[in-house]
Amino acid sequence: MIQVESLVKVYRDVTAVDGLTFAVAPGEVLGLVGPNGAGKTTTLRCMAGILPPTSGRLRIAGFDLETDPVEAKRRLAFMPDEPRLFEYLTVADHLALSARLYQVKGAAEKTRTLLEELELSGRERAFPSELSRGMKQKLVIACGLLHEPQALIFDEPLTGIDPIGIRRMKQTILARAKAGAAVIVSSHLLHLVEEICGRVLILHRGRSVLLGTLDEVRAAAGGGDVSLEDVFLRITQAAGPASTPSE
Amino acid sequence: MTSTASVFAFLLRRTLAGAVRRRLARLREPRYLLGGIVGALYLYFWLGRAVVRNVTVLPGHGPRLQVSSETLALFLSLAAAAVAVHAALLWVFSSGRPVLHVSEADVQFLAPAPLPRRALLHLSLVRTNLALGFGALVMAAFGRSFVPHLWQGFVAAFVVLSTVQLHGLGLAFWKARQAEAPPATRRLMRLATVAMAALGLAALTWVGVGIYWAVRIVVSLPDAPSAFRALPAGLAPWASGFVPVVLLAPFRVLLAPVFAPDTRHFLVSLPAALAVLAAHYEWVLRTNARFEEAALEGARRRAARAEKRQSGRLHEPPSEAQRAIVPFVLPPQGRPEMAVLWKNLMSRRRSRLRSAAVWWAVATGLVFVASAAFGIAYATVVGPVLLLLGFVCAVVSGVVSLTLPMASRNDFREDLEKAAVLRSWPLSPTRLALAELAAPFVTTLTVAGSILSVGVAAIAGGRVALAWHGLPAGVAAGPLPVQWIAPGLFALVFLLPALAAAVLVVQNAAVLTFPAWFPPGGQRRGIEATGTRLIAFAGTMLLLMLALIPAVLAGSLAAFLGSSVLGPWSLVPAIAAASLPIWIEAAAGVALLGRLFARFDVSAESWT
Repeated sequence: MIQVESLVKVYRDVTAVDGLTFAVAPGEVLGLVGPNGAGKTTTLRCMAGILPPTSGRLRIAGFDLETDPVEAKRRLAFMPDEPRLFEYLTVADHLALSARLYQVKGAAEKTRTLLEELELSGRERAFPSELSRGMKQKLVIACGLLHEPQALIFDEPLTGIDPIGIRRMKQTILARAKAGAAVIVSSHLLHLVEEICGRVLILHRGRSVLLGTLDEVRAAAGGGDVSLEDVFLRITQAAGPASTPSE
Repeated sequence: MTSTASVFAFLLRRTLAGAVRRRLARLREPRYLLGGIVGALYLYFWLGRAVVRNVTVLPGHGPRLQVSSETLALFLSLAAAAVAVHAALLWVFSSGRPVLHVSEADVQFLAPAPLPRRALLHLSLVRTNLALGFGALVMAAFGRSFVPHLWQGFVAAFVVLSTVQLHGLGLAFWKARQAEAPPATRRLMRLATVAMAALGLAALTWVGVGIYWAVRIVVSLPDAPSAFRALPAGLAPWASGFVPVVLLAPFRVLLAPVFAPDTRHFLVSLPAALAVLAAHYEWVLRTNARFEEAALEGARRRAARAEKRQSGRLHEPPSEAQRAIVPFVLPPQGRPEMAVLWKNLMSRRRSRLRSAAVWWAVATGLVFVASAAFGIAYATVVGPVLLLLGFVCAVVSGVVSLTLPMASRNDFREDLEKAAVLRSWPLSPTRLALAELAAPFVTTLTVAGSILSVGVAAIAGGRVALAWHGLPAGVAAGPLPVQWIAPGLFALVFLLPALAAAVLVVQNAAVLTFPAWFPPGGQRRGIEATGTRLIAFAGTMLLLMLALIPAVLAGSLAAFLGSSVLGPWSLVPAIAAASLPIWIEAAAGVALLGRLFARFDVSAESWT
């Protein structure tokens, strides 16, 4: 369960996120969409405990990120858009590091399964510099999934991944949701959001413009048999261009 | 001004102006303003005041430290040998791929521009020599006690550094031409390399013989002070032999201004040194076939380095055999802090702690046996030798405990580049701070502890030898009695870890508080980086001195109470008592680091 209440993040004189409130239930996949500078990455980074929010409350599986950050983070996995790996650790080392940090039971078996699922088998001894961008992304995701988190946050999970990998990734995300995890997927690929997300949150200038199921979003945007892309364009163009200098 | 010179002047002026503007913009933040004022004051007191004093001082004033001409001649020969060995290594091992100090933008704009084809070479030389000039100024300031005037030290150091740099560049150009040269020329080139290797070997052998002579002089005299006084005269025949006078002559000519006892000798020796420099410059110009390739190679390497720095890939991946090596096995259960230690230890090199422990035990055992054998063979000198060895071990381990934590950056100083990743880990900020400091702390303890254990093993071996001869353990040696050595070394076991912890706390606090001044990631180069490192060093020392005040008080009290009962061994409880306040301060510092990390706003930093 992920709960966000009145989240505000201000960078000096720029408000990147402005009073955002929403919740993601166990087993649900929420799509977070918005134009560049809408505040998506800032929101996700606040939810992962990377950025301290200016105000507002964030709860992961019932644990408050401000008052009980360690327990909250233990139940959370954040997969950033840009894979940040340690250049001196191999693929296997990264997974061993994650296993110890999150105190994973049965880590060896889970590691083997994840390596196969994410097509990293045989690359255990490779260093990040020897991996393609897509492989690095997969490694970050493998590290994030190892401790079977109750809340999963994906920021642009398909960047740099090949078509077969994309299909696998979608299956992976849906499988985690089916197992009871609350999942947030932020992406510019609206067809992906349409395909795997039960609900959609459209952000613009740091504020929630629309939140609901795909049908509800379509209805709110004027109805009809339109794609999420059409809905997105209608809503964001009506609201004017984004003005924040960063996500 | 020629067009080339005006282009260079414009480029350098604008680069400098841009850098100054960027730094001034940062001063709008109070913490950077404060850092800037402290840095400027420090630089003034450290360097500026020396320069001002040098300008205003009357000529003819001698150096503050009077060194005999015999000793200076000895230093000159040894320095010449060192430069000769360096040159020989370059000739034998350098790759022969010349590299110019230019950027991709320099190549893109200047290579197609209507400028002479040596323009890029000269731009590279100007840039390199500006950096060398700063290095020479630093060296002159540090060596101020040995030279009559700062400017004299600066000129002498600059000529040496510039010549060595030109030698490397000229050699690289020359080697690059080897592949295209006809077979007869290539044979001659190989012959020259063999001759240089032989010269380096001769210099090394000569130094080895000198060490042997010095040891013989030391062991033949009754006490250490008289042995050290007799060294320069005793080594004079060695210092005036064929190798230093004939083989090392060009190197002595180059280095003569550095070791000139006064300004007159300096001015007399300078023209010859400048001639060596000019000859090297001419050599580089004459091998002018590869400037463009060298510029491209230099630009490519700089761009690759910048890209590596950005992506965090600073080193080449280890070999296939090394990939399986980890410092220790990391099971998934246990304290998560151990995972951070495990990770950070691997950021330096992949080695097993267990193997290191075995090597350490073997080396310590060998030192013990060698010391005992030496003591049995030379019973009369074992006291002074042990005193010297104990003193050297104590000093080196002390220096290592202070400097290694500054040089090892496998903590927040490196990891803060990935602050977002660290933040997402389920560790409280204080526990994370403790875990981050662990790797450089373990490394420092391992190195300093090994040095101390060498000293202890040597003393133990010496004691065995004295017992063999039926002599008492406390043989006097000079003004210090030998019985203080063992307690002194044992006492350091308490003090050095505390000092290392304190240094680590200060260094990490600097990165967390002033990330723009002490940027995380790999070690930066350049004048600014040198300056900030010096500031960090001075700040660390200042804070350490403040931290040591309660330690000195506690240690003095313990020494006062224990000296009448324990004698020399009262050092151990005294130093243990002294280290207690440092540990308390370090623990408070770790808590502070945790709070600083919790407040460290990655996005805010990127907005500055």
